[in-house]
Amino acid sequence: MSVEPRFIDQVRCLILKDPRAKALNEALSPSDRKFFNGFLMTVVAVLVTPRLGAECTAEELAAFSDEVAASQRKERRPVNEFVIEEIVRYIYGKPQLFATVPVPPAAVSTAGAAIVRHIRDREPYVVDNVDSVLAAAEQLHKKLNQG
Amino acid sequence: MEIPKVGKRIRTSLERHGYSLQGQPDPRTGEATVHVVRENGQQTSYVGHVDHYLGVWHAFAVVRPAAVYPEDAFGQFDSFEEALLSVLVNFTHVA
Repeated sequence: MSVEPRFIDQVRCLILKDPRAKALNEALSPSDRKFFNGFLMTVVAVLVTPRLGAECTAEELAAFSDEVAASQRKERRPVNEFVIEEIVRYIYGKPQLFATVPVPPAAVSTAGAAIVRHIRDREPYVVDNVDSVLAAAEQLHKKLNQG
Repeated sequence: MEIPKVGKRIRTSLERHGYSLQGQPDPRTGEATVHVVRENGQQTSYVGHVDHYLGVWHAFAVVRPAAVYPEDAFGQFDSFEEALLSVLVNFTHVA
């Protein structure tokens, strides 16, 4: 399944601090958000793996989630370290904390965006190679969603 | 009040992130309130609470900078653990 160009554009805006990112996010319908979140997860996977490595313990995932939450709170952004951890747990194939209570899709978008901003602000290659990052995420998304 | 037990995974996750549960002292008969707080050095922050009344658990989460309002309720649950998870998945701010 290919990724809609507008979802790629939205993540590009997020990485490049283009103010359109907020408007595009708010314009997502519930159905759009589900597909957008699917792509956002692959972007997070592409960014997180070089940072945390191919294997990661639950303690390391929790520590990373706290680090992301602390940086976002300094910027007065709404953030939830448990949802951030749920996303990275999902990426690393760890058991989910919220297995019985669904994570609201908007919370997934917020937490995913927090991870992207956190890594973008610390790893200059993300902005310098935004097209490569997005292409890698798109490729991973296609691979994961092959029929 | 005695705080209801929760599963190991939730308990471990709360501890890893520096969160804990605090029961409100002297609840009225048949009622209970458990606050979800974050210890950060000298500072204690609050991200929501779970109320027990009329036989069910009600989850309230902090979703604005200052405090929790009655409209910040996130459902009614038969179990304390489900209500606690609802707080943990829905809060966006610490107060």
